[in-house]
Amino acid sequence: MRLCAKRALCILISLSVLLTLLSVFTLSTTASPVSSTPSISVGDKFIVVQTATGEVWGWGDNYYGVLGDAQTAERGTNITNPVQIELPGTVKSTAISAGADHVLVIGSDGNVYAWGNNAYGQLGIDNGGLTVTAPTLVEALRNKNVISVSAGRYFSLALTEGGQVYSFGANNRLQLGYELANSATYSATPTPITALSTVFITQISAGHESAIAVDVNNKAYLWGSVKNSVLGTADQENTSQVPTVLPDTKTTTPIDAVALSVNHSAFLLNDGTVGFMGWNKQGQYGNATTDTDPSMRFKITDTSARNIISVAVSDQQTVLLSADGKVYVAGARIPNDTGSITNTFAPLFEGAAQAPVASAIAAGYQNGAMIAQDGSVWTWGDNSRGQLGNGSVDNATATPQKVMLSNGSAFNSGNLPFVKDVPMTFRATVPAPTYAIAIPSSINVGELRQTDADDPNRYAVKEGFVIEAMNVTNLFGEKEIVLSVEAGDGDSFYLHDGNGTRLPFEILTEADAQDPVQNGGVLATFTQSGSVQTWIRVDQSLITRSGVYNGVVTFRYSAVDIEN
Amino acid sequence: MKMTFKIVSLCAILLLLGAMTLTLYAEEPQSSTVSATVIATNTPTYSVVVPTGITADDLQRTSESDFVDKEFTISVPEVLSLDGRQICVRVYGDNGVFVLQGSDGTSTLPYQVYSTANTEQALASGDVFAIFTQEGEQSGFVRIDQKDILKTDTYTGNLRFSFFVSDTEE
Repeated sequence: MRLCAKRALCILISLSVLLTLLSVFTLSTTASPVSSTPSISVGDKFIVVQTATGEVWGWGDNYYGVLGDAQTAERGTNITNPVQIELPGTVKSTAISAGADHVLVIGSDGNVYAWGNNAYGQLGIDNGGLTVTAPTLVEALRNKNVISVSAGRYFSLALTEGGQVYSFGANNRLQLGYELANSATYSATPTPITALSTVFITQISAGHESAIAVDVNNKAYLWGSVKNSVLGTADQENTSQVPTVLPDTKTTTPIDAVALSVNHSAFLLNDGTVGFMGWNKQGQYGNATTDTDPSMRFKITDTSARNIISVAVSDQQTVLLSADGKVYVAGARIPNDTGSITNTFAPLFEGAAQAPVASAIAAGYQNGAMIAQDGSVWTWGDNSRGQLGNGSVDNATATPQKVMLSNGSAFNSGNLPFVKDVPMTFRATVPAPTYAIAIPSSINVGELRQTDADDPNRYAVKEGFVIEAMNVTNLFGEKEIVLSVEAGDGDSFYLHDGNGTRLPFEILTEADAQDPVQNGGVLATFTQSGSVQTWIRVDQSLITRSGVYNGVVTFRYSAVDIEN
Repeated sequence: MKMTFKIVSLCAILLLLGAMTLTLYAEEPQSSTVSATVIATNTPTYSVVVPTGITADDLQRTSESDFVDKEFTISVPEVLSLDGRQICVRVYGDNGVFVLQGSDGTSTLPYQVYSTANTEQALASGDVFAIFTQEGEQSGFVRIDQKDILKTDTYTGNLRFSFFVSDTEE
């Protein structure tokens, strides 16, 4: 006999609903300033300028790509008017230094960028000595907090915020400040000069094959080639020295600034005078003498009445800048041109009715240069590679020439812009997702009847809940409302008759009318207002007892980020 | 949608004497602009007025583009000895981009800058905002697209204006 006859059962399903709302947001980024102090630097046969807006421009010899690659300036040619050298991305220059045929820049992002000749690793980029024709990140100096760079002939120095000096490039004269393993003559790896590790360096100057650093106590340290007695030694040959403090026997006056060329070195002293070592053949000491003996140790020229604030040197001249914007030059403005020699510091614009007021000076190899307060840039000296920047080659001049753009207008470094920041404060809100979920508080499935287990009609599918998401806003395409369902008790969906008899049921949705939703599973997701129909499916062969069966399911819903 | 424009004022005179000696005199905030006079020997003298701030406090994210414009004016009320040259005004955003930063450093809000002389084309950081060959003013606006708001926050930054004299033909 069959245990169960077909019986009619009344089943009432009651529902409780739990609601949950979640919100999640995220994002990321960074910032830093824009404007720079205009400055200028002179290489062997080229000149580079950092404008007030942090752009880099240059002109002259482009053999080593110091003026950029073919896009802006053809390699191997003379660029006789300024061209812009593009820095990577939005990086702006905050400091610039030209070596013999390479350039170093400190970017607005705090990183050092280098380009040009890298035959000796003077770029700090270990690429097998290949020339680099566009500003390239010096990875080895990343996060070193470099605040100053100085490009020498074939080597470079970088000064960190912590007063530490890194050197890289040629080391044939110990210009790196230390010996390399196996007496190697160059290194592309920026390495701290340990001999200076006990002092806090505040200034650096890389010369031909020598270097000078000044510490926080205004003491100078000198190393590298002693040729021409630029480091104050009597020895004029190509011997070298490790970092050595400038002894008190030469000067006890604090040193404010230093400059170094192949032939002589200059020290701007705190008392307004300028001390010199090395050659004075062309009168570059500016003390009304010329000498053929380069081993004069330390000679002081009294410039204190002129309130000098900056000093620069090239092979055969010394350039001074006074606080009132006047430029003075001693030595040969045109190398080896006796007609351009003055052995006293003569005004650069001597006799001019209206001399431009200078804000920055530079000198190197065979040229001098200055930036005027009106932004104009002036050059003098050799012009064999177009380094005067006036559109011509040859015709070296002792008279300052205004640097011109190729369109015939004056190049303007944007000097002395009046800059004003306007603060902006914007308060913005992202409104929370809003929506309403409508769920019937209960449904009545209706009558069910027991069937045999093999009865093909044993499954009764009854309309279940219609769940509606209404007034859905502020999801912004990034969130969705996820509606899940849980069994009211146990780990499966059951109805109870109150007498300990259970009857399992399943929930089906429009999305999948065959596979029921699992306990805790997602019933529906909404990205906008809408509704979902559910069905209740009961295997009537599992009915064992007549009665009224009740059950509870819990709905949970919240707005969550849409997973990509 | 319009914001209360909270403005701090500052009156400043910037004197440039001889070789770059700068002196700034400031008074207590009183008006809605900053005034500055740049005087230099051998160089033109001019005064400029820039807004002391650009604010908005009721921006709200939207699903579709919804622009909020905050207007400002740059003026040059006095010019002396320009001698055929021009005052070039450039505009910059922090770090070379027009992006404001959220309070925690992780969220950002982009914006655009327009001159009313050309409202069809947004300016890029470093672009010329205005050129003055004599006294005058140029208005512009900062545009926020509220759909770009991704996080509730207070976003801050600077709009930098640089003024310098250049040859007219440049």
